[in-house]
Amino acid sequence: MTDSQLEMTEFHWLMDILQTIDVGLVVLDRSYSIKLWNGFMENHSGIRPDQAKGQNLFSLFSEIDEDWFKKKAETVFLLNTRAFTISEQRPYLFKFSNNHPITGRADFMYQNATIIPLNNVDGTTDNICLIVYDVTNSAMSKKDLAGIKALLNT
Amino acid sequence: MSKLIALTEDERDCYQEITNVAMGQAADQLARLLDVYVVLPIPNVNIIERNEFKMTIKSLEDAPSVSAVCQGFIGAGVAGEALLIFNDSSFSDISQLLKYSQELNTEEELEMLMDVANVLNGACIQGIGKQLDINFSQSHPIILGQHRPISELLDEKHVTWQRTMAIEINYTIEDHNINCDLLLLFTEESVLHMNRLISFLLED
Repeated sequence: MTDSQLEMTEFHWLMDILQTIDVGLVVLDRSYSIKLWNGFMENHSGIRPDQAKGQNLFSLFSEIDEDWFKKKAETVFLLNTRAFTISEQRPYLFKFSNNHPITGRADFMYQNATIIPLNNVDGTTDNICLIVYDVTNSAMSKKDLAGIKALLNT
Repeated sequence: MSKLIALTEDERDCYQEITNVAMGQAADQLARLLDVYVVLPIPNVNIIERNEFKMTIKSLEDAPSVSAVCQGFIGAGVAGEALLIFNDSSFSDISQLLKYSQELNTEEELEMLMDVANVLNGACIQGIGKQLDINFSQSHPIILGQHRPISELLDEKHVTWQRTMAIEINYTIEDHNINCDLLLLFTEESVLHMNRLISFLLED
């Protein structure tokens, strides 16, 4: 294989990985339009990438508090640092159903999220990437544990 | 309230056939992995109510203790879970087949359970997805319980659904005392959606 062929193959691998990984990936621009929508987001939201692309994040998902999210995201754009949300603070960003619909006990998917800056060549940031993790299991265990602790203390 | 789901005879046959193809592929893979002949029964397709669910899994295995792994899958409007229930008396036979050491400790047993579950669940889910043209996301497997009576596997208090479509597949392996059940469970909305998908297959 020549170098350029190898590069193409690697590119395809990366695309496959992005599509298959059990983590949600969304790229947003300055106006919070969706630029990238991976397989996880597609499968859990039921919205295809071609339906999502170019749409405003907040008009597509009314459950996201616009002011709150923008406050977080603006620091990422400005300071070029990461921002985090955890399920204890906000149980979910996107209201997806639980990944174990039959045996699971949670009514929705608990989520942690990270927002990372995507830099331009000149170092400025015009796009951000939202990474969504499914933390339903650990959130439920934590809840159970807290319940048991409370019982022990009474 | 969502519409109560029901299946016509044709739809039931169609799901049976789709599962048949998918489990054939799964059995083929298992046969290659273990170099044994896997016996395939006809899959059983049923709509079950939430209060029948415990009874259904109880009727699958009359063993005093079982181990179970479940894995969620979701894609294009179809969501569900694959539940693999493993008769505990099968462990020694399957450890022989997989060439594990004779005396298994708990971790090794778990390892083995995951290996088998992975092959059966993975192949079956992907097989069904391929036929319906759906690319499923699969979540991490969860251990529902190891060496427990079957009635303890599910926490009924927290069940949130009313009805589910269950496809039961009972795998046995020739000349070995190995018996496990794969239960594919689909949510109500998924069944409505899948009924639309298979209506194209049933047209002529």
